[in-house]
Amino acid sequence: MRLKEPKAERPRNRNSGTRTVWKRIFITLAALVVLGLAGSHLFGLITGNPALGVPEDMVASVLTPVQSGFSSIVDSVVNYLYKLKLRANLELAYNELKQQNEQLVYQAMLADELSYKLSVYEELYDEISVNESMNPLVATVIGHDSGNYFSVFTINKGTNDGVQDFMAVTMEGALVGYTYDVTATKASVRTIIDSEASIAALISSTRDQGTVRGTLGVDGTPMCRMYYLPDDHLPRPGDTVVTSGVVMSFPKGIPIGTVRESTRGMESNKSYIVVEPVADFRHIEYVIVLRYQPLAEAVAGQTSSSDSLTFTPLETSKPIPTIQIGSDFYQLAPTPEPTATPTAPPLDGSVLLDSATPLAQQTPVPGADTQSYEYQVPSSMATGNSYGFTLAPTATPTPSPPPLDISVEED
Amino acid sequence: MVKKGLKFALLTLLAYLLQATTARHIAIASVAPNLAMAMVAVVTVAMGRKYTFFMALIIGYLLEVMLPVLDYISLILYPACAMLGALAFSDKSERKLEEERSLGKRGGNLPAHARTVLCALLSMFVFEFVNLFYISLSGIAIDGDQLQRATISILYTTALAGILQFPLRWWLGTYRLKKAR
Repeated sequence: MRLKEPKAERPRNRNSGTRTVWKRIFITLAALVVLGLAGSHLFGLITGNPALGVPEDMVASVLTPVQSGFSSIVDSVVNYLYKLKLRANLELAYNELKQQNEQLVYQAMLADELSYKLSVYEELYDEISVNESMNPLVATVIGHDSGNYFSVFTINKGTNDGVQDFMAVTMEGALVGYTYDVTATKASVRTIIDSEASIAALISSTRDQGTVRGTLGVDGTPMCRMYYLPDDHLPRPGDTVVTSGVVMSFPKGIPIGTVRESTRGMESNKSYIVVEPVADFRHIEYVIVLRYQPLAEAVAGQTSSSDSLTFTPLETSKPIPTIQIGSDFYQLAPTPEPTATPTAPPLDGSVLLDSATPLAQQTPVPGADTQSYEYQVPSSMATGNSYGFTLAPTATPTPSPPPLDISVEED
Repeated sequence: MVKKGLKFALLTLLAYLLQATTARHIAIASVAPNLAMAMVAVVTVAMGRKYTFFMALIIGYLLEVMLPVLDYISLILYPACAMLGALAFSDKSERKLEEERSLGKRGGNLPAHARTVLCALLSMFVFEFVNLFYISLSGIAIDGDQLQRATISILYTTALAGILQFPLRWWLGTYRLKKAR
């Protein structure tokens, strides 16, 4: 095996020495050029000779396009990076703003909901405050019957809160229905448009009494019909129908609805009138349960106080005949028997005052009893602003229709 | 040799172009680094004093011609600062090492990467000191804000030199050289 010849002992190429010399010459020239350029610049600055600025101009003319190209590349890269950064910042800002917008939308929705609840509570408070004697109770609707024939919903109050069966349930100053199937913590409410509901009512203008029933199960419309009205009166459209306060322990005067159709007199086969309910049954969220119970003491007190309500006719020139109708309230005082000799006037004036003049405190004064047992429609609701209806005036009398011929031929 | 010369020329041109065009884009707290001085510091350790001098001279000359801020300042300051760093942190000559060994000292060089950073630190310190001195001579009081800016410039340039030395030394072929025995 032949050993490799050491590098130092290999024969030197003749050209390598020449090349090294040329390299040194080249490097020296380059160094001299650089030093010459720097020196010419220095001397040019010192002496101010414009001829020494020629090499600078040459260098600048060569370097300027190179620097321009490089600068444009750098600017492009910087602009691209800046756009990337800007885009990232924009995306970040967009996401932040989007999140803030979602929060604001949620807060706005919450504020709207709270505002709506506040307005509802204000109306409920008004209704409660004017009917405080009815022992009202605000309840929340927690369930609706989704059937097409019955209108029933459930509230979150029961016997624990004093709710009992057949208590009136109102909303926005109008009757919604009555409670039934009451448990300890909840109660069902049958609305007045349910065909199973039957409520004693009267027409406020004529005071004609009847019975209101729902029509939902009859023809599917959320209306009411009023039956058993007297035959000799024809209600007018727009007349208000209110509760009469009989049968159930309902307060008297709760608005039920308004008369919509009154064609009973024209069509003999119709024995009812159509009543359009006041309450909006599609938007029931909060209701008021009137835990009204007519107390025996209060009734007795009214009765005892009405004992003094004795009809005393004024003195007239004509004799007043004695009329016995059968009611104590309308029983007139008996006519004194004429005597031949008038009795002497009593000496004591108080006896005369007692016998001839009724006492002031014994005369019933309307409104003297602060505890009213008739339902009061809140003033803000009676204007129709919040319910969308106005109690129609019924002052204008209309002629009654001709009575039906109900004469019976005698055999 | 020619390849090395071409690389040196390209590196010098690149250093000038980066300093003239790119340095302002990478400023921190409105303080731009001295990219040219950072690359000169890399060349100081990787290629030696002669290349350092010529590189600093060419960069200073080009900056003086193309971006004349003050007369003489770039042309003189760049080579002066670079040579000061080179004197302290470039590879010691065999003669110097032998002299240290003969005096019983432990001859040798610090690690090249550490010397690059220290060279940049020294060069930039001198560069900023001369600039501040020049400003103070022109009647402007030196306050804490200017000292802070000078400090940021020194540290930023030193850090860049520490980062740039790896690709530059690889490109120059320094990592492929055999270790000296």
